[in-house]
Amino acid sequence: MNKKYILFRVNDKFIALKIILVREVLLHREIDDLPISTKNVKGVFNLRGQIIPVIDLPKILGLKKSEVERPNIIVLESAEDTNDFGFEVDEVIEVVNVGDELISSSNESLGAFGKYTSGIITELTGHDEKIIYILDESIVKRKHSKVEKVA
Amino acid sequence: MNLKKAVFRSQIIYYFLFFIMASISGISYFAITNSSNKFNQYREMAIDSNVAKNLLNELMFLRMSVKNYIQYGDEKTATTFYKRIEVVESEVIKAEKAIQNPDRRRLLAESKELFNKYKEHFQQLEKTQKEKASFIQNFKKLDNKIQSSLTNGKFVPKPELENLYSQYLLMSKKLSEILSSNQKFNPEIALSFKKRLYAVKTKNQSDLKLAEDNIEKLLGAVFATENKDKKINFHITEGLDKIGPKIAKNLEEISQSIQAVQDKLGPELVKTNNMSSDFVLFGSVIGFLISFIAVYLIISKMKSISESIFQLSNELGDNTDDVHSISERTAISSNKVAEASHEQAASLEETSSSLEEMDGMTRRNLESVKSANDLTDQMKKISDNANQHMKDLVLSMQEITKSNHKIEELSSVISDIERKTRLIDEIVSQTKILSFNASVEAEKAGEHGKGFAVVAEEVGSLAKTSGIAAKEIQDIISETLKNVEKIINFNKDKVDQGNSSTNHAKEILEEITRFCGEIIVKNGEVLNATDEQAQGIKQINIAISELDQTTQENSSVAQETTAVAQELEDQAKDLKRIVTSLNDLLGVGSEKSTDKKKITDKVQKSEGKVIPIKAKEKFDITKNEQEESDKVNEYKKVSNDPWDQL
Repeated sequence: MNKKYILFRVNDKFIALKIILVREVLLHREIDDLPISTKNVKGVFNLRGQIIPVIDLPKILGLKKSEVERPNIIVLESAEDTNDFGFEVDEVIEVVNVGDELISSSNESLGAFGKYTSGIITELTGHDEKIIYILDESIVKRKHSKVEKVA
Repeated sequence: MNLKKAVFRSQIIYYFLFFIMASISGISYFAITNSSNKFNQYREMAIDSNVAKNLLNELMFLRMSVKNYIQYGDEKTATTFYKRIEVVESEVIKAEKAIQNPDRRRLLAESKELFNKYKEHFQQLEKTQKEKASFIQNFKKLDNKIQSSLTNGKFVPKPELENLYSQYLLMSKKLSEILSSNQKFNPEIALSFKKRLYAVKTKNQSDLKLAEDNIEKLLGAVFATENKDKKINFHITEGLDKIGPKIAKNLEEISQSIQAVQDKLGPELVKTNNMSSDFVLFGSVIGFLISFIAVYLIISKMKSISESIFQLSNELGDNTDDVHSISERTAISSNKVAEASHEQAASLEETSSSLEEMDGMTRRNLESVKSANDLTDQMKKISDNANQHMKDLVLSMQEITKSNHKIEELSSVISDIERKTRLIDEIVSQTKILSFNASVEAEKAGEHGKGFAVVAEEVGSLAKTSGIAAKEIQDIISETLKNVEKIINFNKDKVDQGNSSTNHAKEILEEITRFCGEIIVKNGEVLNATDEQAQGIKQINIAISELDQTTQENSSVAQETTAVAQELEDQAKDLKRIVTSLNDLLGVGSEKSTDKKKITDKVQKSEGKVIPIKAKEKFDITKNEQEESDKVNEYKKVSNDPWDQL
């Protein structure tokens, strides 16, 4: 069965996320840095009157700091006990349909990266050469507690 | 060395010498005369001095004679005085003649006057002395008379008169003493005696009466004598004793003034004498030196002249020998001249035709120059035209620059497009995001959102395509911009190059124009020169025709030359005779110098040349020889001159 993923890039890594977890994709927003934030929270921004925290995804995934001038922002749908939160990505590429047969399971040997990814998409039409990591939906829950603490 | 010149120079030296000697004699004469004048003055002084001394001596004698006379008062001493005064007068006359100095003359004149006064006083004195003597005689007579009257002629007094007589004798004695000794006469003596005489008169009246009368007379005589004494004293003290010293003083002054002048004149005379002797000595030495130099110069000059004459006579002798052979050759040569004249005429004709050709060539040259001028004019016009084109080219370049500016404007338009394309890109991005969000919403709608999801996908793919297109456009635009910039820069470079090339070309063209101008000027000069050349050729033509005439005349002259050659031979004989006499005169006869070879060479050399000229030259030589021989004759005439013996 096909599921819809939103495909984006952080540094040189291509990452996919189940579209159902996404609340909204934003072209760009200015982030207001928080001086006393925890090391994983970068800052907050105003989305139509609601204060949305932004987590530092590259840091969490153990990647290098992104150098894109105007990064896109993906805001995630809140779970029952959590607030909405977002993270910056270098570029949202497209919305793709991915069949289960294209997904291979993630490997623990990938370290932190492996911890937050649930699988790897290969041989996706139009993206044959790429390795696409699937961002695990647990990130929403895990972040929930941390973000709440901040709040 | 020219004889005439040498003689002239010798004359100059002679006159110069004469002048120098005359000057020296003049100076010497002047010096000696000066010295002799001084000496004369000195001599006159000496005469004056002698005269003054004599006068003084005579004055002394005169005064001594006066003293004698005063002492003795006799006839003899008076005569001595007169003799002396005569001598003095003659001395005064002498002195008047001798003394010329005005001061001394004045003193002398005074002295003369004083002498006269002296003489007058003396005469008066003598006269008075005589009168006094007569008075004294009278006194003695009266004394005798009185004594006889008192003693009745027996000189034994009567007893009653004895006392009176003795008294009388006393008085008489006293009176006679007074008379002879110039004592002052006291009338008291006479008066007391008179009283006594009157006291005794009662007894012998007649005798006493006589005595009384005589005593009166006696006293008168004593008084008169006393008066005379006074006169004598006056003459002696006021006249003679005063005048004598005055004269002596005058004469002393004269003598002293002479002495002063002499003291001054003496050293001057010595100095002048020394100077004169120096002058004369110096003059003599200078004169001797100058004469020596002059004589040396004249001798050396005459030596060189005689040497040159000797040489000339040698050359003459050689020449005379040559002249004979030359005159023969002259005859032959004159024939050759005639032939040469014919040949010359033919050559002249050829020359004439050549000249005509040359004339033609000059004309062609002229035409060539004219056509060159025309060509240059054309060239100038062409270069002017090119200049105009260059100006057009410059304008075109400017147009290109303008169009370049337009391209730059175009480039800015493209830049605008680029900006718009970016905007499109932005819109594409937003559309993409919108399509993502649409997909998210469709997913959330579940089954109902499926159709919407397709739309969202389509929008996403459209956006993607648009994005790709926009990117392509952007690439193209940036490429285009780069190209446009390149074109602009290239155009700019080319325009700059074109500008500099145009300027260069312009300068070159201007230079060409300038050169054309110069060529025209030069052509003009060439034209003038060619005109002048043509004129020159015409004149040469005229000259050639004249030359032709002259050549014909030459022919006849050559014939005359033959006759002249004969005359030349005769003259050569004369010349030989003259040379012989010249050699006799010089006393060198047969001696010949080595110059003979040289002269012969000269003659042989001149043989090859044009004969008429040679003949003329020979004529000149003959003339010169004639002159030389004339000079020699002249020299011979004056051979009695002492210089000849030098």
